[in-house]
Amino acid sequence: MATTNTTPDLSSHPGAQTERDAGLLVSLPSLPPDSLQATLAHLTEAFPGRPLLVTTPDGAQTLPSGSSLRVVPYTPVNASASPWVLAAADFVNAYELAQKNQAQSVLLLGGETQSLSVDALRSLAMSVEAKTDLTVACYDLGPREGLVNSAILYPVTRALYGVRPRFPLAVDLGLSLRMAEKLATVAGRYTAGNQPDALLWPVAEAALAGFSIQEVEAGARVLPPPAGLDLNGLLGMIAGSLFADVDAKAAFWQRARNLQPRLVQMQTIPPNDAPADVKPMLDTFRLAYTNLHELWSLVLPPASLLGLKRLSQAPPNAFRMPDALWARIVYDFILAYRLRTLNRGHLLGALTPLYLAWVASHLQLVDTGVAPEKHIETLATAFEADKPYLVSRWRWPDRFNP
Amino acid sequence: MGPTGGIGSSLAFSFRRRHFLYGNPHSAASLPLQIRILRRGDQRVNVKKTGSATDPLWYKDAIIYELHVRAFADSNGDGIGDFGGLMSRLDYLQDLGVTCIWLLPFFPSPLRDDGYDIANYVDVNPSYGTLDDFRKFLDAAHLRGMQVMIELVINHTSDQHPWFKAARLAPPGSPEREMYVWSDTDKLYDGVRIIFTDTEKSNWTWDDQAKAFYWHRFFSHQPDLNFDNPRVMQEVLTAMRFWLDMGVDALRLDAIPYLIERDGTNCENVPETHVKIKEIRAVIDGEYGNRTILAEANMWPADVRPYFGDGDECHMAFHFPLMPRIYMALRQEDRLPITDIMAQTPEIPANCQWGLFLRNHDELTLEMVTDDERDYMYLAYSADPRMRINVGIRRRLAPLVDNNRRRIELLNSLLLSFPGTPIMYYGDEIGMGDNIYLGDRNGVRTPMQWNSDRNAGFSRCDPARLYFPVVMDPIYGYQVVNVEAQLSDQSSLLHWTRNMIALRKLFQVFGRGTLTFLNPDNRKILAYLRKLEREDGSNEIVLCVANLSRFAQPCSLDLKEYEGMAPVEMLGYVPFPKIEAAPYAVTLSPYSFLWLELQAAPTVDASLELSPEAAVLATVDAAAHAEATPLLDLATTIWATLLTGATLASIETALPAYLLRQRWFGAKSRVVQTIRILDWAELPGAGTPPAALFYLSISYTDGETHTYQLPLALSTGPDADAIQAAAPNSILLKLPTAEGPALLYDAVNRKDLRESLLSLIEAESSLPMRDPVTVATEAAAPASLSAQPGEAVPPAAAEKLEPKPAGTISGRKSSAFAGVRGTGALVSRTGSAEQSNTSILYGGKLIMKLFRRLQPGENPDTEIGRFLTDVAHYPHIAPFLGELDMIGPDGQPTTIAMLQGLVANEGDGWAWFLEQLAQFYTSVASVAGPSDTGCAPSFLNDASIPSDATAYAAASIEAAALLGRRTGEMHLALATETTDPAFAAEHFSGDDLDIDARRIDVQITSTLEALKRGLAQLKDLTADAAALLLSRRIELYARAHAITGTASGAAESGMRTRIHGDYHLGQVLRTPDQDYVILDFEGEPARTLEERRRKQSPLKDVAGMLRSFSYAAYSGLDAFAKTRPAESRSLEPWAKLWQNTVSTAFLRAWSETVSAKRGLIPSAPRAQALLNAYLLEKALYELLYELNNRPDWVRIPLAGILALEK
Amino acid sequence: MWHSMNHLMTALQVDSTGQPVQYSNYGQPVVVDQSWWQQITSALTQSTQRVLENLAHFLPGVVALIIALALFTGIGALAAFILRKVLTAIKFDDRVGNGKSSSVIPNLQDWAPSHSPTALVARTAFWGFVLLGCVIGISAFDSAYTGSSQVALFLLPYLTHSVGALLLFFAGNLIARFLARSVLIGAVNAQLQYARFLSLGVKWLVLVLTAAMVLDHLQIGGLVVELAFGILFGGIVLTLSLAVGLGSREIVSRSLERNVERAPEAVAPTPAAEAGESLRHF
Repeated sequence: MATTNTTPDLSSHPGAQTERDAGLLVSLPSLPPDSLQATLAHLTEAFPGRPLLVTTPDGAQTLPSGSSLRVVPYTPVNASASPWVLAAADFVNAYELAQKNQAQSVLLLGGETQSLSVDALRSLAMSVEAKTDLTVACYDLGPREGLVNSAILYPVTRALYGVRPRFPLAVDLGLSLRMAEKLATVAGRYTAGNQPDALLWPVAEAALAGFSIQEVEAGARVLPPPAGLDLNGLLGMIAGSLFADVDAKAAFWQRARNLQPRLVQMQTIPPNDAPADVKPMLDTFRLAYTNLHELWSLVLPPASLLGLKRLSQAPPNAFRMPDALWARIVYDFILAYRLRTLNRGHLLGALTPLYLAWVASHLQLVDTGVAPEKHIETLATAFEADKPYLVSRWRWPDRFNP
Repeated sequence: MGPTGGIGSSLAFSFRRRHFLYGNPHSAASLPLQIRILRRGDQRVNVKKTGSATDPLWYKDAIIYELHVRAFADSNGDGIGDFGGLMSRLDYLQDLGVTCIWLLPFFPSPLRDDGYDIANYVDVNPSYGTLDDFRKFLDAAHLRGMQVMIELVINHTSDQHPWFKAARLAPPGSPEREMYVWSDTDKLYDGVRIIFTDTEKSNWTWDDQAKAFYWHRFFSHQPDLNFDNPRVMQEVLTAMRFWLDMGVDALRLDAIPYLIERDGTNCENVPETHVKIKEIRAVIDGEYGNRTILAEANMWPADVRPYFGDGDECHMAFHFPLMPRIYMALRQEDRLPITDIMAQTPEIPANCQWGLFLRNHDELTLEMVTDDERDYMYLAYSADPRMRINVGIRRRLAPLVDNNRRRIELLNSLLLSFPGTPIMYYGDEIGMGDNIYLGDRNGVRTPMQWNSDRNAGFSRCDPARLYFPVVMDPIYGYQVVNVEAQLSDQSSLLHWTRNMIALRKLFQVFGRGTLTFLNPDNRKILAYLRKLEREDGSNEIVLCVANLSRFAQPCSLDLKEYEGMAPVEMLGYVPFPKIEAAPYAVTLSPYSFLWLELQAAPTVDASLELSPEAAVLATVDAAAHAEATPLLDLATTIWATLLTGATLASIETALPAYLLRQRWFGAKSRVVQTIRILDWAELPGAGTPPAALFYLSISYTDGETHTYQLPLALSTGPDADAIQAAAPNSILLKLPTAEGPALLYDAVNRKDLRESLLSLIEAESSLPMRDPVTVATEAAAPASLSAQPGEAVPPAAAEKLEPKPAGTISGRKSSAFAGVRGTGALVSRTGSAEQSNTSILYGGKLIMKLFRRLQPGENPDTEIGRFLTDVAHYPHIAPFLGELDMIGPDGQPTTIAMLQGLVANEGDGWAWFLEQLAQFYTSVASVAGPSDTGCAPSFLNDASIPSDATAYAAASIEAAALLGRRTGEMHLALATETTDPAFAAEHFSGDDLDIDARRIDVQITSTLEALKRGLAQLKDLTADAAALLLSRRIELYARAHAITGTASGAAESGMRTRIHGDYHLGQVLRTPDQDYVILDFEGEPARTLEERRRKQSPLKDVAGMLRSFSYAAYSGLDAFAKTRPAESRSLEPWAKLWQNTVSTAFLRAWSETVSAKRGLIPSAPRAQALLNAYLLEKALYELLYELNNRPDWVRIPLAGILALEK
Repeated sequence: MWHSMNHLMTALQVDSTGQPVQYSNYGQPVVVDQSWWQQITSALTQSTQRVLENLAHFLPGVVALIIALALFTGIGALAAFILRKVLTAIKFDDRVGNGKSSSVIPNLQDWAPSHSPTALVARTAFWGFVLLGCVIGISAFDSAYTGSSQVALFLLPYLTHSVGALLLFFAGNLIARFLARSVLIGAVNAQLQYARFLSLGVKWLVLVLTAAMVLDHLQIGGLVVELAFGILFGGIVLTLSLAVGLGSREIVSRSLERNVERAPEAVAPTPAAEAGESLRHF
């Protein structure tokens, strides 16, 4: 696959090609020198002979021999301190660069870019050039990776906005110019408020604007590891951002209904034999059940509390959190976040043990041979089925509910 | 500091939601626009000053809250509300959902007309604060995303205004004098009506200082400004710019029709007025952005229309005549006043908007009604003459409707859903009352009621110092009606109003959509559609239905235009039945209203595979799906049409979950991948559409495919209700039809199906079969299939397109049929003991076994039944009477039902022995353990039966011996000499033994695997035993191979004959004469037909029965333990004793009986080896079954295996 | 009763001297022939003089106090105004509102959700100046008025103290509740078995501290409060250390160990560590 043969189709129409090439801009994050070199090599391989615009904040680069890339170094105006995920500053930078270079579309790549395969680069570019407004990468992950995404981000985004991308927070995105402008506008509000690290939800923004969204297979990829914070802090940050976004887009998602078909199937990298050690997670959950019960009871309705009680008494090997229960828990936390039932920091902290319980349940289920992706899809269906609950409570936030 | 404290504080937090960063959703959407404006700004000469709103049409989506600074909150304790107080309550307004605050005049004024008599246009009345306070308030409101509207009273000033003071003194004709309208006579403009009829006698008042009359349309202390003087306009514009520069977003132009006077007219709405308004608007458009003017023109709608101009005069105008008519409609319980006035309401330019209100600071004005209507309104709403003032009624909302919460809610729902911007009057959100003993219209201008503290929390001052007393009566008094109390009451009017406002704000259609009235026959129902088509092609349609009556009302709405759409109730997001061509019927409770959002029918993605965990969800899905399919017309529905398109898809989606609920479905541990309908046969004359036998192909994720038989019928009305009540578990799907929901359910619950099955056998007739593909192709199905969204078609659809010839179903009866059937009608019912097949009983004579899982080929039960009845004449079975076969296109028969004679019995052997056991345990409960528990049944030893056993279990032993004899006789009968190759007895060969051994091998492997997987679910003790068993894996394999051990083994293994195959106590019936009848020669249902029809050693049956005795002993013990737990612990040895002795008795009697035929049974050691192997196999089979179905019973076969002799 | 008492006293008077009481007995040279009226006048003038003197001492103090207070209130208002303008200009609210500090330092919003941070800061500045004015005024008053009227001297600061004490009390309560919840959630997520005790402990520690501070501030009980607090606090610490050292050493060490073991797993691991068992939440 990885040979550098030039596609005759591309080289035979140089005119059309340059016109197109002026359109696409690849925006790279700050990378260590060797990763950057590897990435440039990949890009050269993916787009042989095309004078592609590549922007990097890392200064002037020597290109691999025979490369036709045009590397444009720049100094970012806003720098994000969280290189593991695309943040507001990245979108602002990307749009500025696209404008400056008169690009028609942007390929916004996240950290550890060198691990992105040549095929993935090509298919991302192809989708972007097919006038898709937002192209989202779909990665192949192991069954024990990307769990927050599987547990919360994906089902919630899918159920609320009716859009299917499996990774709402994918680090590799293709943006049309108008999508980039829209995201930059939204991001501008954060960067102006000196929050260059704020998360954006491109998928939700695109759905809100009625833009086309496409998902492309990106294969396996090393996802940049989150920096610094512990699980609790990260979950609080990401879920908090998602919940706030849900709050801000209420008028839209309460009317979004039709689900877009999913074209890409996520491939799960088969797990290794050793069953997951879920005991610590269960311990956390049990401990939290005895200690955080009164906080939860401010947030969750009695039926969910009963479900948790049963869970807390379940033997470890029969520990299964029903999908419907998890969906309802997440929805009730979104509602509590909106209503400020309790301090938002505390609220998200109280979600962590529940999330761990879900993870434990999910891993145990996977260990019995259920395909993880299948369970996630079922889970997403459960979220969809329970969406009316969220909408009705959102509209009528009565405490007297099931 | 306890949990209650926490809840309290959390509530407070919850109500304090704020759009700190994100603002409201609409402003986010319109942000780029603002940026563009700013970017172009540097090229402009004149920069427009934009208001706080980002959308120029913001007023269309606004919720306006009208309040008087004086009446809202007092911060300095002087008894008069002020801006400081107002600012402290902004959070409250924000949480209420208000987006625009309309302040009544707060300018310096002698306050003789509630501030509308202004003495200085560009300052703040010192009682309310300072200009700076106003600025602070403005900023605070803008920070919260709220706009501010103030009054621009340009028709008149106070007589204390410096202009008027100067005008009085200035000589006639001077510019100062000409600021006002002067005349030497009071006859000028004669005939112009007087507005404040109660206080004013003329529109002219004599001024002594000026020695002239001055013109005033309102109070005599409010001289009208003279707009014919250009200086007046200049001054007005200066005042207006003063406020707009400060950031005020909207202006309400007071009394605008009266600006200009012309002789010979009624001095209202004269054309020059519009010139003046256009002038004002031009200034606003030229210098400011996103500002609004609202006209107060108390006129008929057609007269108000000119104030919108061509979108170049006022942005908004009040719709005055609507207000009294809403009240009139409510009182008359008739929608006509409302629809009538709306019909008179002209179209307005696209950028204009009506302002709607229920109540305001003035009286409920009755100027814009006919005389009759006015009289009616007076009689209806002002019982006390004190409530009337001028031409109106001075009351608040709640007292007007007798403080009826439902009426208040109904009126508010109209306010919030009618085309226009709702304007709420302060205090009405909590249902405040009024004080009719205060003069003028001050009864509705009392202080806002915040809490039950002094002065209702409005002010800390001495109550006597308040500008007006707070309302204190027992119904509306501040102790009862106040914000604090309603905030803490989740069911209060305040919460209701807040939720409704929030809901309205979610839907732009309310502010911007069109209005169409539906005219249902019932005039007590007001129904209308609001519709908004957006530029991006999406649309919002909302249907509002309101019951104006105090009683429940039915109505049916003509919604043909929206056929196929799904209404969703908006308050609770509740899906309503879909709209069809027929009138849409709704029933409304008293004064209730419905807001329904009409949504396009949802498309459901059916491509998801369903796993058992998802089964529950699948039912939900299927239900939703069912609602999505178009309505069926039952009269014309046949299966062929039903089984195309969406209904087929929903049936196939609902099936997995349905099957899992059915006892007869045997593959519960497998994961269903797809289910599709192979074909079906319609039964003659059973219902419309006739009940039919369906054949389903079920494929599992492990690659296996099974065929199941499922009779289905469709019912509506009372039939459906009966099914719903009697057999809810048999319902597969609810389908919406024109006649209400139809149930698709298992048709064995129908009498006519059962009868037509019997008549098929009786008449030996046959039925044609149909399949979806042929039907679909006949009906040009490709179109209907492709009409479905691509993903909704299950993958199996592709396969279905291969046409294949259909088979037939035919009945056959045996010679014994007529004798047993007799004549006369037979009452049919389904058997209560649902097993893997379903039995139908006919009048206590016949029993039909309807097979569920079908296996190609003849069913062994029918085959053996026929052989034993016709050939061997074995008496101890149920007589075989007939069968139903499905003959495939290849001529291969598959038995789908078997008919037998019903045998008089006292229950099956299982029940009988359990009864015996219950007695046995009761009698031995108090006895010490048996001295000898006997030995396991064996061919090898001839142990005597212990005396303990004979003492307590004599009846059981005797019965077991008889059963042994009968069993032996059955085996002899099966070994009857015959030429039929299917039945002729054969000798064992080495291969046969190998097959047996391999079969046992497989059984060991699969059972142990399942055991390993299921280990986690087992209870502690059982899990220990299971672990022990798992550890003996190798030993078990060795035992299986013991039967193939010797070379001569095959020869010494006796004969192979057809056998019962699944022999246990449940398969024998105890007859009244203490004998037995043997049933069910079907074999183990889990095995293939070929396997079941194989000839095998009769010892296999013996092993089955011996295991059954073991089951009986222990489940009897369990049952006993449940009633008397204390005594049961020591009974384990007795159970063992019972099992051993009874088994031994059975085995002994059996072997004596079969020894009649030489060679049938091998020598004792060989027989024992075989028996052990079969026992092992049987117990493993049981173990697997229990693991999959009844984990609590696992310990019985487990104990059995562990107890087997090594 | 009253009667008999009187009798008794009369009797005593007579008994102790045996003759009518004379002023000369007290050793002071007294102009006996000075008139009565003069005596009264002089007494009055003297006392008036004394009071006036006191007043003369007192007044500058009061004036100083009032001036200081007024001045600093003015300065405070000015400062608050400037602060507000500056903060609004630099969009302080937006920055604080959702800054990255939110997970570490609790949001300002959470503390006083009904006020924007700008208003909060401006108000704090304003009241700070007022307080400063108060303090300066009082100290000026103090130095100006060194008279002997201890009551006035005591009462004035006492009033300010009680206001401070009230503030302290409320702030302490708020902090105690907030910290208790934070600690509870944090401890649970860190899998500390004794999360609830920790949370309760923190809450009561803060409450006890608050109470001690309030009492100390009010200057009630003096040294006793400090002593008592010291003893209580020391006791708590000692008890805890004893508990860790002896009884619950096992528990504590186990939970600590577990925490240490889990650390690499709870935190999303680096790609290198991702080989086998680990979980990635992101």
